[in-house]
Amino acid sequence: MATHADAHEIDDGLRSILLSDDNFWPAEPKSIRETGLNSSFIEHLICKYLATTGSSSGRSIAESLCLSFSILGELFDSLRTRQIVVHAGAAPFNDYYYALTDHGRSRATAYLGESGYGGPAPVPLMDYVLSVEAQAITFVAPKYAQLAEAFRDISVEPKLFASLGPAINSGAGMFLYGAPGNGKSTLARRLTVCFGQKIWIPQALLEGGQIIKLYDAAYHHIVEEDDGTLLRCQDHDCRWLQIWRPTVVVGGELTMDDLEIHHNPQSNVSEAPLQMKSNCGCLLLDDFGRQRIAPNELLNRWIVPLECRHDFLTLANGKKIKVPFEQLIIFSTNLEPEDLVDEAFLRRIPYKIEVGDPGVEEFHFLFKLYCATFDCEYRKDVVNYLIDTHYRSQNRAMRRCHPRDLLMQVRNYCRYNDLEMEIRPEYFDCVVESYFAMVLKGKAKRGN
Amino acid sequence: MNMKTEVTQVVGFNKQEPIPGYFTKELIGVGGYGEVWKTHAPGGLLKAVKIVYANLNSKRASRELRSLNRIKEVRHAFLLSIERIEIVDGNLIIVTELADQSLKQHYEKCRATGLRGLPRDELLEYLRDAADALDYIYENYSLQHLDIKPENLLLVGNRAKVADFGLIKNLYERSASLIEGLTPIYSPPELFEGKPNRHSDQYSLAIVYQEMLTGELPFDGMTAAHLAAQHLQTPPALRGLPKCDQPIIARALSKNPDGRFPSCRALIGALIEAGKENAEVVKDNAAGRDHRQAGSSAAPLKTEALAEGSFELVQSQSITSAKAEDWAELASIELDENAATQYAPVLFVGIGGVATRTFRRLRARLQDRLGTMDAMPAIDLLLLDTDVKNLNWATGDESSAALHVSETLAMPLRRAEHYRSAAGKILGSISRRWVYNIPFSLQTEGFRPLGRLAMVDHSKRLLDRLRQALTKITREENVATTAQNTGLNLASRQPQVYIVASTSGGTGGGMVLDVAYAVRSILAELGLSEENVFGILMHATPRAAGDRDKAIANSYSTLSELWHYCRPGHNYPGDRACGLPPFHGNNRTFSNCYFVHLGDDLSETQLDTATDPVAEYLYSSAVTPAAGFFEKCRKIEYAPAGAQPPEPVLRTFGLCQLGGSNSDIPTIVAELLCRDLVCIWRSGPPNTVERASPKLTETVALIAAHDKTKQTRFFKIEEQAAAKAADLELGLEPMQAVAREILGQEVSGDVESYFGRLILEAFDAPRAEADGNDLTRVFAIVDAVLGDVARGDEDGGDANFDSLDTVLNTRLEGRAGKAAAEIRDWIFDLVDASEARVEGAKQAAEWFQNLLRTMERTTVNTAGHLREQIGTLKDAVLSDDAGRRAAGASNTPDAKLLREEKICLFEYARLRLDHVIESSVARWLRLIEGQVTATLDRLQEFWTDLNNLAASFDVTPRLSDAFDRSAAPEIVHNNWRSLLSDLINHREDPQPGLGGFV
Repeated sequence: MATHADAHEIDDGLRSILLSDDNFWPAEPKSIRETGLNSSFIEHLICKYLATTGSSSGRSIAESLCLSFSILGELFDSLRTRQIVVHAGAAPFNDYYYALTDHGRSRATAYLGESGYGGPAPVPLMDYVLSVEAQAITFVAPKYAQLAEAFRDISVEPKLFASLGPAINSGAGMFLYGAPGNGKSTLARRLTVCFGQKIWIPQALLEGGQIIKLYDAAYHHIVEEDDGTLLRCQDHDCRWLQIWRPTVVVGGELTMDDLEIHHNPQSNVSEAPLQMKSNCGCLLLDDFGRQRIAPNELLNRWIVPLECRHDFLTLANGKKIKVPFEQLIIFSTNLEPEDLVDEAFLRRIPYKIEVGDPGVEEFHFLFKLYCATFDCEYRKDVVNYLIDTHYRSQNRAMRRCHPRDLLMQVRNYCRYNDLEMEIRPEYFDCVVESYFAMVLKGKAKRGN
Repeated sequence: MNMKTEVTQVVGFNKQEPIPGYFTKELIGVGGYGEVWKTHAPGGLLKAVKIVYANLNSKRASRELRSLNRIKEVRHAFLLSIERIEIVDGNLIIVTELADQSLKQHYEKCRATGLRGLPRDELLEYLRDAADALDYIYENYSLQHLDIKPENLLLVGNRAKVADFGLIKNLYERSASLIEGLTPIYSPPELFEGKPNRHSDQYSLAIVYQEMLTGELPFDGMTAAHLAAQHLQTPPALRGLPKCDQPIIARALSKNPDGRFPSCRALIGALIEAGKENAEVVKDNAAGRDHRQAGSSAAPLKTEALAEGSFELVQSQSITSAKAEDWAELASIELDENAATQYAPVLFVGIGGVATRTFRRLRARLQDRLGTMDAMPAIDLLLLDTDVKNLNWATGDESSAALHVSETLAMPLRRAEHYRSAAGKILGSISRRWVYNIPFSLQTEGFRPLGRLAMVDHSKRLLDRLRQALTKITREENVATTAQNTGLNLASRQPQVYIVASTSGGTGGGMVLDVAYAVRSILAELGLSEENVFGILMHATPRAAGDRDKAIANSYSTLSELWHYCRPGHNYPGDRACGLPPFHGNNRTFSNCYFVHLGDDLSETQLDTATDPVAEYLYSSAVTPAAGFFEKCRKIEYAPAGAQPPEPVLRTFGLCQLGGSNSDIPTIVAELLCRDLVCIWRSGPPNTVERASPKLTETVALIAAHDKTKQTRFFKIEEQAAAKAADLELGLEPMQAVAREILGQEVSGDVESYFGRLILEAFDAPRAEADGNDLTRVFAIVDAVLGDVARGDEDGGDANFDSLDTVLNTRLEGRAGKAAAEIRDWIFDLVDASEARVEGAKQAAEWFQNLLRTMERTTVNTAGHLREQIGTLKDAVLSDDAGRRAAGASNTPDAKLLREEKICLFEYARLRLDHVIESSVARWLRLIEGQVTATLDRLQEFWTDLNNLAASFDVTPRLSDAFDRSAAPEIVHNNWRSLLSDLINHREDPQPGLGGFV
């Protein structure tokens, strides 16, 4: 019996589960039924996997399918009874190597013809929908402290800060506009950080017999497994991956196709659209207005999703599915919002935040910041010289990217000439010429 | 470690005498290294001899020899002294002083007596000695022992000595390998890397401390590799140690040697200091016993433990646990047996799996006792659970225990998608993470929030069912029907509601408080009293470690929540999601709340057993006469001193069943009866003081009364014995009179005048020439008649007739036999007399024995005196006569002289007669006494037999087992014994119902 002297210590793992902020946890299925898939579907996956690998142990098959070995046992037995697979030898830990029989091989070929998908087992769409609802960014309300933490190492004007906070909290869309090179994209990327958490996403979805691949290494960064005790103490469903909240950035390359489920007729596998990949995270449309599709077209496509927070997508077989549209959408543009879209759209994107040029003081501050990065001494007089000589006299606007870009050029210059990295007026004179020549030309063409 | 258990046989090596003069006597240790023998050494000394067989373990032997060379010059009071080192046939033989036992053996003995380990103070004494020695060898010789373990700390007298220097190492020498031979349990991390450090022994010493104190090791690895990994990486598990010791041992167990204490002595010093600072803990620990609290009084303590756990929400000091005195208070509750117990309509609401078990048992009890549930519409059960399978089990069979489907309400969880539409409503009271994390099994899996979610989800149905049930049980006609069918005196419509749930489960813990408020809101709505809403909260932990923690956390949070609602100034906020209004004012969740600790690490079967008492309590409290008692118990206020306003109270109950049919108590009772019966045979009525007496004053009075009875009893026996003695005319005077009378009969008249005549005749008779001396002849005649004075009991004299003393003795022998038989019979009769028994009979026999001995001594003394007088007189008379003859006096003496001689002869005869009588009486007494002694011996034998018989009924150990099982506190035990004694005392009129509750 416990007394004062030996108070019970709750296991750390349990405590972290009970007290964790995670809104969602993909529990490991204990049976085929709990996976939400039917056994013949999993059998297909096993056959296709064996067709591509030759022979493999039960455990490695389970691993590649991201299902637990224990629930696959009965399937292996059934496949063997039906002479689709055979034991090709004993594997460690009470396991066997499995290989396809001729009969099995012909079946596998047929399965591969139906669908070329051979990756991890998918998750039913409804599970995904729930996971998005549970982990939606709307429910995380970042406070000033989180924002300050996210923008710790970049310079943000207090005014901007004050308007950004509520915009992020709205969870709806926002416009970030202003001249190029002022850090709109940087700002947008940083915004996801203040939501701070990790989320779970499935690697692939299954709906109406169609497999939709969701995980995209380009946008989804997996949280390293040894990160916390949580993972060790409670088993999770391996079909799900824990990632940092995604920030999906699209630039001018965006087309209307990217916003629909992309179906590959050869493999009969679909790829989730960008807005799905950015669910629970941030979707940044960089250089909005420069896309291959017209802003109006894009916004027309999204007008309903933005309002209802869910989107309708069409599967290859024609079935329409409803998926959540739960992300912070940031339109970053160097054009005036009014020039891009009409008022009806602007109403649906409630926050428009201008990212203006930095003042002299901030410019100095940025130099100071980047000098530290480039490991050279910050000299106020040299920066003053730069401003006087190359900005004021030339009537050039200061941009937030300039200190970094110019210092980069100075460094390259010094390196090439075998000089020690430092800032000197003459260095700036050299690099400014090459740097601004191009930019100014571009600017002249576009704007003035 | 690979331990060899068989004794090694080595050819060509004389194990009986490994070194000349040293004879091995007893094997005291075998290990991978060799053997240790207790040995007779020259001079009759006992020594320990360690033999390291070189051919088996040459590396070990050579290492040991190297080590010995290092240590042999080191002398310290707390190092086991080495007296001789020999190499015989290549085997290394070491002679050391012989210790009493190792620390390990001492620890095992302590464990065998039920202690957790050694008492802390004693252990620290030993370790201080060891620390002294270890610090000494380091400070003076730069040596580290490197194999400190309980087996190597030997106790000599009351001090500890460090022994076995097989691994001892000079830190400034390089050594090839250390791994071989080390004991991985105690080895510091640096040793696995082959880098011993000056603080290495301290690490081992700290582990020894923890193990010897608590019986637990800081690292639980089962293999050397696992242990090594743990030593190198895992933080030690110090939970079993007293709080004050934990930081100290943690420091000594630092992975980085430099982080440890500067010396072993510093470590022990810190432990001693910590003990002083935290005297209470140490005292607690010094007792060392597992803290097994008597009965369920432990439950409030558990609460405190939870409160003191890693969460720090509840101020534990405000929780006051019941004290031993409270039991006395319970025991002093007086029940008016004549007053009819009043019953109320009852609704039992059970929530979750543990409640299901309780309810099945409860239902069986209700039906067995009162008939079918249909016949008692004012008593109803309602079982709620999220687990439909469990409800199916509850209703599934045909037994009387099976609940009817209408008595259950399934409240299963649904898949998350079903909650999406209602999310707005539900999320008002439950965090969204739970709504979206419903397990595939659709059960709470031990998570309270999920239990609450199910409750919110099914709230409408739940409220409807509760309303329905409460309306039903309180309907007038139902109350009347129940009273009629069951014979219970249902006096009122005001219902009792028992809400039964396990706080450690997800469903029970999650719903119970809300259900309580739901019940209260419905009672209010129906215009009924909310007075009698009782909470029966149970706590149990299952076997699986993860589930155990979950169970504890659940109970903790449920109790915290309950605590919160019950505190003045706080209130239940209501829950719009399930239509519950907020409660203001009197906001205690339950009017009385019980918390029952069912046990820890319970299997399914154990859980079933553990819930039985709860069911029994519910049954007794609702529909048996015990209700009145429980009612009074609830009225006892436990107000902690200075608590203003009153603090929330958790009550608890324990159950012990007396005379139950399913336990071994009946056997024990029977045996106890037998024992008590035997004791009565032996000593009369049982000792009344042993009976439990609740109040001290009463006890004192009883003791006084008892002492008086005891005296009176034995006084009476002596009185009776004296009366008997008088009756038997056992007394000197009457006996002498009898002897004289016998003699008189023998001589047909007064014996003294007979002798007068005899002497005169002899005197006047013509004297034959040959007769010589006249006086001598007269003496001879008297002696011939009375028997020779010196002869005593020997046969002799004239063969033609018996002398008077022989006749007397023969006649008296018969009388003695008769008297002895009478005394014996009388004594044996006493054995059957209820107030005397064997003890009284013994007393009487001893009394007789004493009496007879005293009388005999007196008569023998008198006879001795008489004999002396006779001798003196005879010598005087004869010498006078002889003197006269020598002076040539005439043969015819003158008359004066003759008269004088006659007077002397008469006196002689009288003395002789008295002497004969005294001797006979003495002999007579001796004979009787012999018989009495024989009787006493028989009684003594009988007494011993009875004692043995009584001892064979010694049920105490089993008794305590039986009570442990039913967790009865001392007072219950005592009351039970007192009941039993009453039964024995009035066994003509045994009470029919021994069973019941205390």
